[in-house]
Order: sequence, then structure tokens, then C-alpha cells
Amino acid sequence: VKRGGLLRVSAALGCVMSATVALGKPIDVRMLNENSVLARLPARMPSASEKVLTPQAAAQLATQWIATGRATNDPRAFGYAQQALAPWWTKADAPTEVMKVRARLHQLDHRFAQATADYQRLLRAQPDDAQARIELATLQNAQGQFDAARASCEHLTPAVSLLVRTVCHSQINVMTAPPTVALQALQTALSADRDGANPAVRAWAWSLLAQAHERVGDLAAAQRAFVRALTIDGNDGYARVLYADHLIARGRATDALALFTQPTNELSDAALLRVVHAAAQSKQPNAQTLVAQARDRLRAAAQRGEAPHARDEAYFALYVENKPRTALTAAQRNWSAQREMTDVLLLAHAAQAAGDDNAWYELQTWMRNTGFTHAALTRAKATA
Amino acid sequence: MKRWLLLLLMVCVSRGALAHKASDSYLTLRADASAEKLVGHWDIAMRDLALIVPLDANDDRTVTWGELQPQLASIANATQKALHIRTNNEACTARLQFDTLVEHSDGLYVRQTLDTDCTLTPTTTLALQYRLLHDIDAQHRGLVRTALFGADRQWVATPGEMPLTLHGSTTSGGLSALGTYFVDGVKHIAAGLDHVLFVGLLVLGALRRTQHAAPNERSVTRELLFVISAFSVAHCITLSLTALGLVNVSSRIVEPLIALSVLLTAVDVLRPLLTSHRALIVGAFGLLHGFGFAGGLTPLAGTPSEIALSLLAFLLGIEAGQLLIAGAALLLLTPWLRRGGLSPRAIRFACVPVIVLAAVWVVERVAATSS
Repeated sequence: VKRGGLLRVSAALGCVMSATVALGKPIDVRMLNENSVLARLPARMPSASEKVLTPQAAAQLATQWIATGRATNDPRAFGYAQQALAPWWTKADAPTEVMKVRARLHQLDHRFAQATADYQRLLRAQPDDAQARIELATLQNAQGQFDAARASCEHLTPAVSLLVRTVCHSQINVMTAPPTVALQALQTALSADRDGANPAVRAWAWSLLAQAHERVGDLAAAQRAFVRALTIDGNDGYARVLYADHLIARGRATDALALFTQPTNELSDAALLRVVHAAAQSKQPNAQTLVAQARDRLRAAAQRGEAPHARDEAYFALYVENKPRTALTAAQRNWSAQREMTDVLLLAHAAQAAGDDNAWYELQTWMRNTGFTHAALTRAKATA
Repeated sequence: MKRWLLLLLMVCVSRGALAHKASDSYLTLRADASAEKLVGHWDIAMRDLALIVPLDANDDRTVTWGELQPQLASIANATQKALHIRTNNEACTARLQFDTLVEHSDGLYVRQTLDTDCTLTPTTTLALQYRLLHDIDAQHRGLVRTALFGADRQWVATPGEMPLTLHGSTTSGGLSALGTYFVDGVKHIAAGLDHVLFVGLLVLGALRRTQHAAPNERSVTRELLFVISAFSVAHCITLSLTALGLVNVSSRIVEPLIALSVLLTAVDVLRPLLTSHRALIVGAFGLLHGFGFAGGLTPLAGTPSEIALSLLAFLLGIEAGQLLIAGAALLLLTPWLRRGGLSPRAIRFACVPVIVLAAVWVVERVAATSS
């Protein structure tokens, strides 16, 4: 019943929206009738009267909003979460429970420096806080600080489950060690944790496994692992985007499109970009509308000037607009902020498409120093 | 065990860190056809409007055209309150009215036209304070575009933060505001005839007292510096205390006393009464005038450091105005000074009208307070 309702609403929305192609342009309200659906509202809405007085209550409310934001892919929920923490938002000596949630919000919004500072403050007070420790490791790893990340993982106490410890190390190994290291560790930990306490951690482990398979070019195994990850945790938007990239790279654009069923205005920027790319690749009739929508989003993000959006900019320029030079500049800007596998591949492909030997050479040097190898890049090098 | 469970519950969050479309509104501001009034339009997401105006009458988590229409006036009302526009530091009225629906990259927005009575000139300082959703969504931003006097610019307005200066002689709103306080200070002393006459009398008195000795410009200047400084220090004290709200003396008491101070000073110039403790007496009068000056100060607002700076600018303006008046008086009297000083007739000629005028003020102001 729910799915049917959803589809009806999407159809109604699509109807209203297809009335215009250009974005930010008025629609003809004379074409509407009383029952035309203009917007969908979430199940839970915040209100100004919902004031919390204690740090504990504020942290709890913010945590609920973060969970809502993740489950519904609704970025506004993170704004409501931040609002709940407003009295302590800029205080260096915020209560511990507030600081934990604040650090996660900083992390979600890519304010890496603030997130790192919060986790380090938390760990100074409570060195055994495994949660803060693993968050910090993930943060350091995403920025390419592999040694620091490894040190953080090593601080995890044996009380933490094997799977969590393995995931912590494997996210680093999948970037720096030979692919088999992460493959074997993850396979062992996953089979030992068969009944699995936490689906999100298992999903994370499976998507890391998929990335390890991709590195050696075992695409069939990678695909099976991505499917496992999404079966375990359908809310893992990150794994979904990685899987879409996997499918698009294999020329399976329609399969990639099928991964995203919501109306496009409810997708994250990264997800929307994959939809745009896949729609263009499979020559969908609405491809141009989607391109305009994505361009509008990137413009709004650039104007806000907050979260780093260079990764999305580079992706859009490279795969949608076919402007390799613009893409390379953006990818290099992004490189100074984050260095996950997606970022390495993006920079490599942009350098290659732009025919920039210097950029390519610099990246090769970095790869040699960290120990990163990838089948897609070996092929790219062969064709270069 | 409990801790371990907590860890597992939370550990997922670190990923999913994908950039996203947060809540934005789009505000466009421009000059109207006559290039004199500020107009524009404002697009606000339906989802955000639903947080401040009830849009889902039948509670089915969708907003239909039928549900939106009856609420358009409430939307205009509620959103109007979230825009504070000031030109040259004075609030102007903004009126919003539903125009149409607009599609942006994350859904449909309500577009309202904006009409204001803000008058624009190339030198106008235009400031915007933006407060939409300031108590609901900490990540909401107003993406503002201005097309004014040939310049197309973009701004990001954060709800509840310091106003944006969208147009003005200087890009720093703080500096131009300080300039305004300084000018207010100069204007205030120059526009009050009682203050002008008082300063004039201080100059005249200083001249008169020094001319028994060898009348020269240096001794006059020294005496003048002495009384003017005493007056300044004293009125700075009471002006600051009043402006900061630490002291509040009714103008019903202060105004007649200021008139009386002018009267007494004029008499003193004519027939010296106040021979001893001159600094104390001038200082006491200064305290009185300080209370009077505070009336010319626009209420101070902002952070403590901003208030202090504004007050300082106003004080500097008062001092500058006072020095201008003293300089003008000195310049006016220079011919007599050159001819060997002021004759008793000349002094009488200057003082008697002031005494009469001040006496009238005293009576008027006392009458005004008792009525």
C-alpha cells in the first residue's frame, strides 16, 4: 500500500514538474487543480517550540534527527539536529554527550577540522571511548592520513568486536595494502560474525570487500558484495553510490538507474549525479532536464560555500559536461580535502581525459608511496 | 556490554557523508523601473513553509494546491517578519505577496513578490537582516542576489546573524554605521542652540578673563583648552552613563537646568560671579549637558564591543562639533582681539541678548515640566 501511494505521489509530482524544463522558472498555476500535489512532507517535522533544556535531551533529540536524516536521505534533518545543539554549537567546553553528536554533524557536513578537534577533545577526556576512536580513524582515513588512522584503530580495545576492528583497519588497508590483505581479513571477520549484531557495520564490511574485489578487477565478486551490502542495509546511501559507479563503469546504466527509485529532488547530490550520468549514458528522454537540475544544485551548493562540493563538481564536469580541464581543476581542489578511493579514481580519470601528464605523474607518485593499485587505473594506463 | 552495543549502533554514521541539498531560499533584490525603490521576489521551499504555516489541512503528508491557496496570506505575513531591511540605518517596510510557484532543483517553491518603501540612491546604505527559520533549522540559508546600480552580486544570509550590507559607501557595515554615529554627534551639538551658545560663552569668558593680562592668542588658547576640556570630560561621563542605561535622569529636570547654566554663564561673562573653582563649576554644567546630549543618540544595539564603538563615535562627533563651534567663535572675535581686547560695551552687546533668551528658556522649560 505504501509503495503504491509513493508511486502515485511521484507521478503527481512528475506531472507538475514536467510542466517546465528550465529550473527556477515559474510554472503555470492555472494548470493546477485543487488536488494537484505540490510537495510531500516528512512524517516528523520540527517546531520552534520544541526547546530542549538539558544537554542530554538536546543530544538525544539531535541523534534522532541524524537517524531520520540518514534513513530518509533528508538533509534538512541535519539542520534540525544542529538547531537542537544550538546553545552549545560553538562552545569548546560543550558537555561530552553534546560534543559527540556535534562531532558527527561536523563530519556529516564535511567540516573535517572541527570534527577532528571534537573527537580529539573527547578522547583526551576518555581515551577508551571506542566510538570516538573509530570515528576519528574514519575521518583521518578519508583525508589520506593513513598512519594516523592506523594508530587510531590500534587504540581500539579488545572489548570492541572483531568485525568492528577489522572494518576499522580494512578501510585503511583497502587503500594502502595489497588487495588480498583487506579481502582475507574481511572474509574471516564476516564469517565469524555470521549472525551479525549490527547491519550497518556488516553492510560497511561488504562494501569494503566489494572495493577490494574491484581493485583486483574481479567485477563479478565485487557486484555480489555490493548487492549483499545493500540487502543488509538498504539505507546505506554511500554503498548505493559506490555500486552505481560500479555499474556505470561497466556500461550498465539502466541497472544503475534502477538503484534510485525516489523522485530525483529527494536524492543526495552524489546520487543525483549518478542518475544524471546513467541517464545520459543510456540516452533517457529526460536526460537534459536532469542535467539542468544537477547544475542548479551544484550552483546552490557553490553559493552556500560550506560543504566542500569539489568532488561533485569534478564528477559533473568530467562525466556529464565533458569538460576534462574543469574537472581536473576541481578534482585537484578536492584532493586537498579528501582522498578516498572515489577521489583517487576521479583525479586519475580527469588527468587522463585532460591529457595532463604532470597531474597523472604526481598521482602515480602518490600511489607508489601509499601502495594503492587499482585494476581500472592499470587499464587506463595501458590505454593512455 | 552496554557500551559495546552503543558502539555498534552508532558506528555506521561516519559514512553516508555525501554532500547534499540543504534548505535554501532564493531572494532577489533590485531597483524598480524608476530606479528609486527596492523591489524583488523571494522563493521559499514548500517544505520550509510547512514548518511555519500549517499547509497540510488533511494531515496526509502532502501539500495540495487546494491546501496551499487558503494559506497564502498567512505565508506572506509569517515570512514578512523574517526580513528586516534598513536603508541608511532606518527600517523600511517590506510587503510580500504570492506570485506563483517555481521549480528549483529540490522541488517546488512559493514565489512571492517583494515591495518596499526603501528609497535607493547610489549612496544609500542597504542592510538586510535575515531571520527565516532561525529557530528551527540551523543550516537554512538565504541565497541572496542583488542587481543594484549595475552591479550583480550574490550573498549568503545566515538566519539570526549580523545584517548583510548589500549596498553602501563601504563594504563594511560596521564602518558606515560608526560614521553615522559620528555625524549624529556633530549634528546634535550643532542643532541645539543652547549647547552652541554655551560653548560660545565659554570662549567669550576665556577671552575676557585673559585680557586684563597681556591679551595674546596663546594665553587665550590655554584658558580655552582648560574650560573646554573640563566641559568635555564631564559631559562624556554623563552621556556614557545615560547611553549605557546605567543612569536615567528625566529631561524635565535636565532641560530647565541646561537653560539655567546658559543664563548663569552669560551673567558670569558680564559680571564675574564664579571666580573660584571655575573648573568644578564648568564641570558641573558639563555633567548637565551630557544628560541632554544622550537624547540625540539612536538607541545602541549589538555586542558590547559594537556598543562601545558606536558610543565612542558619537562622543567624537560631539567633541568635533564643539571644537568647530569654539573655532568659529574664536575666528569671529579675532578682529577685537587684534585691536587690544573687547570693550565692556561689546561684551554687554553680546551677553544681554543671551541672558534674555536663556531666561525665557528657563521659564518655558519650567512651565513645560509643570504643565
